[in-house]
Amino acid sequence: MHDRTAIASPPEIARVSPVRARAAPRERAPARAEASAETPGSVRTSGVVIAVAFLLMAVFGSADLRSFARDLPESRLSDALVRGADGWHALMLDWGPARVRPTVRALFDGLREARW
Amino acid sequence: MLFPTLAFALFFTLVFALGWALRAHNPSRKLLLLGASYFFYGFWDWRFVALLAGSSAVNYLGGVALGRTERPRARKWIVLAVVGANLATLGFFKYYGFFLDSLTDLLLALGLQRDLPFLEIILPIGISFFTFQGISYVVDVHRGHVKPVAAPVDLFLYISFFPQLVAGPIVRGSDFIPQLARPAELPRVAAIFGFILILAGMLKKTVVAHYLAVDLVDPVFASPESATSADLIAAHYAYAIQVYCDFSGYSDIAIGTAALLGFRFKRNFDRPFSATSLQQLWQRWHISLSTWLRDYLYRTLRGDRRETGWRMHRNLFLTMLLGGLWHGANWTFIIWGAILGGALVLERIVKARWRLREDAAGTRNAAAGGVAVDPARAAMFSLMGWLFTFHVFTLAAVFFRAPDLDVALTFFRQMFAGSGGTEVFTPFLLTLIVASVGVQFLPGNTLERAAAALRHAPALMLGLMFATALLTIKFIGPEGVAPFVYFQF
Repeated sequence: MHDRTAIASPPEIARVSPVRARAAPRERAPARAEASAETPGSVRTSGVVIAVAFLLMAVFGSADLRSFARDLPESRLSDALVRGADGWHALMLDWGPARVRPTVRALFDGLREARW
Repeated sequence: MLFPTLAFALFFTLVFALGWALRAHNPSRKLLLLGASYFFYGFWDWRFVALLAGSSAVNYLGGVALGRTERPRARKWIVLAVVGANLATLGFFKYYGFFLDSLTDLLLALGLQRDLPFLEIILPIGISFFTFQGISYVVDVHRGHVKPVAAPVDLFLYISFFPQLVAGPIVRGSDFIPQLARPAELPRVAAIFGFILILAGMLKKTVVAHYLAVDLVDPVFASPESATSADLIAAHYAYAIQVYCDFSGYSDIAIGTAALLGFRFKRNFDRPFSATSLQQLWQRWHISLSTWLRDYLYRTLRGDRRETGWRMHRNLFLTMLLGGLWHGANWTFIIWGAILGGALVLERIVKARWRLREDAAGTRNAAAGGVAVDPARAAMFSLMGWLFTFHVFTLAAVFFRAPDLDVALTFFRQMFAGSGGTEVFTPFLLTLIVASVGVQFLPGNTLERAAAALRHAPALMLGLMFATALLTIKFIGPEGVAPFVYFQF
């Protein structure tokens, strides 16, 4: 194996060489053990974050859900999904959450289209 | 299946749930991730799944063959054959059309009109990135930096792992393969950091890059002859920011999703627009490609010699030129590479001379990186360096974006024509440009610190924060998502 540290590399192409990265001390065992112990809890937390994101997307972004269902290849299942998504979006419009997006969008477009 | 879509969110959620359910059974987890990665790739175009598998098989067999012989000559031939196979595949898909057109033109110029066999070649998405990973693996095995992988699934997963498959970052075998050997881990801060990176990537891609492209860059580059000078100046800044946000946004989402699956990737962009020299900028821009070019192209050009002077400058220039050519067989990319390579060499020459002068005058402060002792003078040098670096990059980017040389030259002619007023440049776009450059001057670990600060937050609160930010980005973003700029390379 070459002694790569003896070879000058142009510093502009990369800061951390793999050699230096390999030479770095290994992760300390306690840190690894701590990470390992934290993992089940972190996975649960991540699952909660993803679930809440999907829930709020379904409530406030029901229009996206409807577009997604309509873009699916035609089949009995997708027909049922389209009907379900249409019904859900209509319900969210009635209840109000689906009207948040057009309101936010209108405010944003006002800013975006402002001229000098 | 683009990252910022509901289809990807559903796909990722399924892989996330199954992957962690299989945590205790690592071989099954790896097979799941491999299957998911091939499904992800096949979703783009199933015909190229065989290409991905073939490329992985060639690199795997190359590694095995290297592991079985110690004879230098045999090892050299093996690595040449495998790298040659990788480059031939990449070259065929990327440059076949260009060479066919050029050959036809040449034959016509010689009065030898020929109907050459025409083939419509589609560029397989991500081919450059998985080819580069394959090359890095085989060369690293040859150099003795990584051991040959025994289990095919490890190598196939390394090449095809879906977060980084289609547009990088280019992950090294020495970083990725050891992570497959141990049970996956997800520290709480890493998980929160993963979510923050996903949000940052979504904001960069679907808001900043999108509106800069749609409202300014695309219309101006479509007809630069009819744009005003102010619009052209703004568009040339905007394009550099657009490419940065598009590409680093993809990298952020890739690194964030990999983190949530228990993998650690190095950062691929590190506030490049705060760089005060081109040298520094290339240490911060697409770091995985810069390091790849350094380790596998520059070092091959240089050999094992310690270099100084014109040879080093020549090799630096060639590396940047070939980096330009990699983006596509087009004069605009070659000129882009030449400008950046030339400017890099010029910067090194000027810096070396400046250091000699300062040494002679006794005014250099080596501890301050070779700049003058006087703080005011040092600040002035930093400012000048930043202005030079930023403008070399943004001006060269015009060649990168222009479809051909005529458009690029018209763009520059009109830009300096001094025509007044603005047609498409708005205060909103100015805010996007200024804010995008401004955040580059925040400390490099700002997002990591944010993740650490949220470490003890309850899961529900984290969920509400993430969902609210995601919904806001979705609400102000476009209806559809344009492909990422670097998918075409």
